[in-house]
Amino acid sequence: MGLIRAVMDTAFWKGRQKRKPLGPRWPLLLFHVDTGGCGGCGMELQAMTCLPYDMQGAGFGFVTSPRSADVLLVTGPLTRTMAPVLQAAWEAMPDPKGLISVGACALDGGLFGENYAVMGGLERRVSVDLAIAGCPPSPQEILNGLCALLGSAAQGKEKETPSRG
Amino acid sequence: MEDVCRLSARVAAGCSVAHQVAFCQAVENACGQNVGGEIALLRVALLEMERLFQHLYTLAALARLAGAHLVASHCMALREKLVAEAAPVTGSRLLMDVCIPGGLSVRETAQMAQLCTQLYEIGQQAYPQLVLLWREYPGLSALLAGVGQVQADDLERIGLDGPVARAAGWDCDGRRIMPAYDGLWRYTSGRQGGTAEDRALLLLDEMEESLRILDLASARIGLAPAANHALSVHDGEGTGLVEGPWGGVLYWVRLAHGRVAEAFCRKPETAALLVFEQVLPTHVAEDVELLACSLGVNAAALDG
Repeated sequence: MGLIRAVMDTAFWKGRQKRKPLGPRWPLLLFHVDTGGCGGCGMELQAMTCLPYDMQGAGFGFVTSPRSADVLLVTGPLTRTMAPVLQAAWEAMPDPKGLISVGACALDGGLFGENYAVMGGLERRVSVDLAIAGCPPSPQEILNGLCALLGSAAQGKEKETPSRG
Repeated sequence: MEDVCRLSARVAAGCSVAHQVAFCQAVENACGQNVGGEIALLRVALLEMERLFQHLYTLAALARLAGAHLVASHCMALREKLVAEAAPVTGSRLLMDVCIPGGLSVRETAQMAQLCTQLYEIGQQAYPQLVLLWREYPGLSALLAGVGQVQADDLERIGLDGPVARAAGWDCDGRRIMPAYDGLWRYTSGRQGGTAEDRALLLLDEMEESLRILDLASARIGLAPAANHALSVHDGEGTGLVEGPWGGVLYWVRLAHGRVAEAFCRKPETAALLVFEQVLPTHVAEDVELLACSLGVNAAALDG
């Protein structure tokens, strides 16, 4: 329902301001879009939300609407029918926002080559903040990748601090 | 050939082994070659592992959509325990790329018998508690009993087999005609009301059956050498049929000049979508996702 609303928002309310409160947010909220493929990465994401993986403890949670998401999580090769949906989800997300590709297909198309229905991966089209490799990556690999993103963000913050001071 | 085999593993992630085995059988039949009893037995073990993992995944999704998060958590925890046990031996958590034309490509073939025993022991230990929890969780059975009732005649007309048809009273199981299942598979009678509850209970029954098959297979694996056959690829046509977690998966291939010239795949998800559309008007919007899940509607398989 959230995604349908986001599509409607993009279609009819293009000039709408979307801002989230400044400052640290906890947990980091993820919105997942499966843009095609076999669905294996989606299954591993689902497994990551359950035992024994402590996804919420690590500081991540899934949301059902892009309007409350910090990060767009994409799995599967980009199909032509899902491209507008992915675009709508991205535009519905408030700034600042990030894009993570999970699995080989989301990044470079994997086994699914470009044709009349499939556009391939995201790497040549948009800037991806984090790419988690694998076909499919295991839940632990996905969680480690997400944690690495926060780790690098924290490191970046530490590096920035002296210059600010 | 290898690329097509890898692609067949990625038509639908939950039915990866079924697609690989059916494709490999089709290629082997086109070449007029038989892989032998041991390889066929190992493929049966992989098929039953996949059925076990996928049924647990489906049951978890059904329970979650019905609001029974405790039951869903139990299903996923057991699935994760089984998958974690299998992955080091098979080389893939979702059992992708474990089968090639002429044989297998699991990481540790010699440990497959031991793996079957371990999965049986883990499954047997957790299964009674899971069934008890499913049957006695407040409101779960009542909610599922009112969703997605289908008739065997309609399913036969549309062509949807598998657990959906068996839970509606249509006696159809591709394992009956697979020689590799001789002495392993047996007909198990279950509820035949055709509702989502009947389908869930059938999935639970089939899990127990898969565990029993794995136990029986573990005693037979290793009695003969499991060497991969080097296929001499001829021009020709062949078919392969196996019973996947959601029904029969059939492949037809035509080989020409050492390559796969044409291929056709029949999968149950196509018919599941037609059944879903037929049943949909009698349901409220809140039950739509539950209905799709219980009928095995899978967007990944449909666009694959």
